[in-house]
Amino acid sequence: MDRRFNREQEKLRERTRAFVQKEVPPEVARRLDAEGAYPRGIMAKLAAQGFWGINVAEKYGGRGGGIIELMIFFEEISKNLPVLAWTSGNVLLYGNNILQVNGNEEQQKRFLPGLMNGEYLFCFALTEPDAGSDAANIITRAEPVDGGYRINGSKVFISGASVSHIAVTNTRTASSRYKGITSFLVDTDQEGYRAAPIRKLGYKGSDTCEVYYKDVDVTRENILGGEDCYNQGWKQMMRLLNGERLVLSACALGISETVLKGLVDHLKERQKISRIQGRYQAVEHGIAEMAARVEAGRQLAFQSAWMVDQQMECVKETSMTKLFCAETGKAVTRLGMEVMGRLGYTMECDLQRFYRDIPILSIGGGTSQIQKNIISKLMGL
Amino acid sequence: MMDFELNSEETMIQKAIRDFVTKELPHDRVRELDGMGQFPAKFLTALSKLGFLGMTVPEAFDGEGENIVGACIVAEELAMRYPALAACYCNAVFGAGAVLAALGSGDQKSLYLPGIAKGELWMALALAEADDDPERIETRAEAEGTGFLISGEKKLVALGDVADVFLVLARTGKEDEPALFCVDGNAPGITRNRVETLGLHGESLVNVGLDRVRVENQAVLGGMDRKMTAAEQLEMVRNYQLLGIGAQALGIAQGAFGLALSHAKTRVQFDQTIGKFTAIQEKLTDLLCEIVAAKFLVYNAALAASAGRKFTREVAMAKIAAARIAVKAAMDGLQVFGGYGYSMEYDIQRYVRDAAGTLSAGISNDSLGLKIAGLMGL
Ligand SMILES: Cc1cc2nc3c(=O)[nH]c(=O)nc-3n(C[C@H](O)[C@H](O)[C@H](O)COP(=O)(O)OP(=O)(O)OC[C@H]3O[C@@H](n4cnc5c(N)ncnc54)[C@H](O)[C@@H]3O)c2cc1C
Repeated sequence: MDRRFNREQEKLRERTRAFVQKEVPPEVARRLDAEGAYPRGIMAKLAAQGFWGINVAEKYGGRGGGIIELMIFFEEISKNLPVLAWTSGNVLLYGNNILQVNGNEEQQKRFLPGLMNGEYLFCFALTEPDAGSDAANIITRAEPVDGGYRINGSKVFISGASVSHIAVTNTRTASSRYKGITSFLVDTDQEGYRAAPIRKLGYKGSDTCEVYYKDVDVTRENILGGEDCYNQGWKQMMRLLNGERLVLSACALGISETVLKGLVDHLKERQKISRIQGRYQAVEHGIAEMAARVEAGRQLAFQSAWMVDQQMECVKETSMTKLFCAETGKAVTRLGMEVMGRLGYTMECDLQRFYRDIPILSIGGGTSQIQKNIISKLMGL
Repeated sequence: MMDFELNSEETMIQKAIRDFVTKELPHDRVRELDGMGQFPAKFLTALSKLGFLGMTVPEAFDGEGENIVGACIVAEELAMRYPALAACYCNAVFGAGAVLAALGSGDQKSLYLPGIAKGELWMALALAEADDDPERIETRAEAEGTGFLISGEKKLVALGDVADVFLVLARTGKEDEPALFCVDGNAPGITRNRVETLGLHGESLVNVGLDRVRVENQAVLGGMDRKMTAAEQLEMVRNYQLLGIGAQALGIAQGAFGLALSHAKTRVQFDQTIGKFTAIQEKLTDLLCEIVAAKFLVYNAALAASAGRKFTREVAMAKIAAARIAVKAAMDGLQVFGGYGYSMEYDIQRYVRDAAGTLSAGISNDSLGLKIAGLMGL
């Protein structure tokens, strides 16, 4: 047992693991990937078993967990079906977390109960065609009209946008690059909102969409955090970044751990039938090295999480974590492809799915290059 | 951008295949073909009309005469745009044409080579069983009367779905080294099961089952009085196969690199093209260095093969390096594309899927490593 996790957290890990084993065995994961549809059935089961309350404050009936609970959950889920971690983000991150970090009490009261019982899904709409890494470059605008604002523009790569009830939409409300962004809770049933899923290499079923806003009206009350938060969107987002990086790191760790385990099992079989003593030493060392990197990533990740929990300054650490875990995940799956040979290349083998899933983790939530920009800047460069 | 000194004939070949690719294989067409995943018969026929399928077949058998370097150029150029087509092409010119020209008996040559050069006959290499140890073979050929009965299962045979002939590796006695047989694809007792793969869609991969498949003595590669041992033959077969994979991987790497380079020149973030960021420049520079290095290795092996020298070590090095850089160029290329690289509307994702196939095709890199080590006296 890991000293850094308390009993509750250990129990959460066990519970999540048990859920995954029962509800998302590899054959189910394979089928869901092939279908590529949003995994509503399993999401409903997660809701029914209380998982949507893990990071909701006790006063709202949740379990009051924080970043460590989220990471445990995301890591375990990612071990079998990474995309399910992301769709869970439509509740745990873009719903529960955003509302509790940046929402006002009225908004929390209005949505948290429904999020916890599986009624609501939220998505987070920031990226635009010309605003990817340069997120502050967004031009989707919200103009004042009678009684509120009118949103026009488009977003791209918004996960869960066609299934969500609320799209947390970041808009340009003033020319100032950072102090001219406002975040709105947009009801997606509203006329003028349209989302179209993008076909992708991996993370199939995440419902990652292009989104169009045409004269979508919102009231002032729908400003995330309330009227006082007008033009505060950037600042609000910054508060989410540490958590987002760590959660994505946990996804990469989950994938890496499964791939490593598969490699070990595979190599054991090969060793059994090999006639030559020590035939696989070089391959073993490759695996050992990756195992060391994954373990280092875990240590860094949970150390950074602890810093977040202690409210210590840790932007550099979370950026390092995201960089390291995502790149390690890529290295591990690449080694997997090399070692598993043609077997790993067939669609019957889960490795090919992880190989398709992993590359996005060094892109989404800030690319590896952006993480390095942050780290070097914080080192005074 | 990355050309060697080619002689005038090679330059002509390169120009001709580039024209073909530009004209017949625009990007959106290839995307569509990849989605359908069918054997690209039409394009192979077109390639044969241009003489490209005959580049390892002697003129006496309706080929163009041996031009190994030329065939590598064609494979490389095809793979830049459409790796699965390159894979099929390599199977035909290296796995079938070059192998039979070098090792076939007189009868086998006249029976198969003209069809191979014309793109009317497909021969598939049915060698592997256990994925990691290509030499550990359980398929058996029991001598019976004037021939053999072959039984066993061959895994992941490229072109297996369309093959008219299989080159089957099978053991003839308990301790014997395995021998190679030309087996009619329509012979009773043969079953084929399609295998879906991550990439190289159209390569028509199958598992082949052989249940007491009857072949005559003449079906032994090179005939019963063949000049080489079966082990020597197998080494040649594998070397040609690996050369094709190397050229193909090299093309994939360059294709991915080209896409990434043009994206870096056009995508603007933070008010400048991302190619102006030195971190992106360094990524692309690194790739370029490794691609050119792999290119030297691949053509070094091709030249050794052309000169009739043993090229086991050369081709092993070439395949290891080319496959690695193919995967790296594709993965790093995707990174340069950012989120767009993940979309099926963009082509770089296909290179990511196809490149992984070269990593594992033929013989695994770790087995090749052992081979090189052995040749170094280790
Ligand atoms: C599957 C998926 C799901 C997503 N989900 C969401 C979502 O739910 N909500 C949302 O808002 N967004 C989402 N995104 C968008 C994601 O956050 C962006 O893709 C990411 O921020 C990168 O932006 P970009 O794709 O425009 O790449 P670009 O910014 O164009 O980057 C291209 C390349 O340039 C490099 N680069 C850029 N700037 C610099 C620099 N200053 N220095 C060095 N290198 C640089 C990058 O590292 C990258 O290699 C998702 C994306 C995907 C693919």
